[in-house]
Amino acid sequence: MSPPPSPSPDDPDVAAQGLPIAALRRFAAARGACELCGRAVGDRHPHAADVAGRTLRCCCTDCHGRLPATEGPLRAVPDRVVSGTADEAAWDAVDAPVALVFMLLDDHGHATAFYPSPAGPTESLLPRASWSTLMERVALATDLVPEVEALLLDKRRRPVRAHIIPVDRCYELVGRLRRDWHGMDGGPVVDAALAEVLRDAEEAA
Amino acid sequence: MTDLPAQARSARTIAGLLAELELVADPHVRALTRDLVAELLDVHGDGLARLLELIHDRGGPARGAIMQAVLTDTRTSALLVLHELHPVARDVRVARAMDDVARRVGPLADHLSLERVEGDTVIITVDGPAATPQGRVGLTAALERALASHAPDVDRIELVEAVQGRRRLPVLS
Repeated sequence: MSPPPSPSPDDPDVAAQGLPIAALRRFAAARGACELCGRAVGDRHPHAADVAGRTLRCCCTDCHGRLPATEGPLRAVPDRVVSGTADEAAWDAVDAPVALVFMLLDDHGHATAFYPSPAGPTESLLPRASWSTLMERVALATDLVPEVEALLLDKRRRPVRAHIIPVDRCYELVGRLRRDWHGMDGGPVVDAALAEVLRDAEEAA
Repeated sequence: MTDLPAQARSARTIAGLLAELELVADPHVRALTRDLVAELLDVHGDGLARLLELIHDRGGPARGAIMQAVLTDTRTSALLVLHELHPVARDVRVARAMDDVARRVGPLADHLSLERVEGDTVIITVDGPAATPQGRVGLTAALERALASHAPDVDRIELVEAVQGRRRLPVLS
């Protein structure tokens, strides 16, 4: 973020600007609350995908239950996990620099690949041809719900593992990896984090 | 540099950061930031409350003058408002801001009145010259300035045109 321009005492806008008290109070008061209706939610709660804003909103089970999963500006992030395998050709199509990659599909059929790292995920748009290859070679890929689910490929195992996981679990995984990453390939914590996220997701489903 | 611009600059930065945080994609990061902000506010609020207690208990004969200075200083009084420690109720502070505005805008003052405070919004009725686009601009600037110093807990100003024939509410004083 660039610093705001230096204010001058004669600038009426600057003189008029007081502490944003209402905004501060609203921000702090929203802790532990559904970001859609304001009701309290527990530590484990579902999420809604804000498609235009590309953000996830914490929500209560009631709000989550009312949202559609496949259309509209706000969508319920589903809680299913589906696991399968992929072949080497599928992995080659992704051309990933690391052994773990997840892909999100948008409404327009564009796939974006994310590579987790200690500095947070690196993002790159996947060529259309690569996604087409994936659709042909990975049975799970055809089943992916755009905007709310991710296709995760894990090449550290043979055969390559493929999982459909909810997009909120992706954020969780990225957060854990950023926190616990060791060495060049992330070390054993990658396995632990992935196993934990998959187990949590399966329990919740 | 006077105090006000420095304070205004922090205010602008805080407002910008809060808006930016709402756009952070990861809900866990937003939740952690919310927790941090809320806890920091609590710690500061506790400390300020204790400070007021100490002024009251140990301030001796000077305590009235000290409190007066604290309440008239924009920076300290805004913090008391933030932590709901300000001894003057918000309605009264809004009325004081209206008095300030009336003094500032001259003859335009006859054409505005405080309707009510609703949530974080102050609703003001305007008519005649105050209801023209030019009148509204000048009035809004004066209102923002006065509310920022007397009632920084007001978030929005709404100017509504007075309905003909309806009795106007007097400006509170």
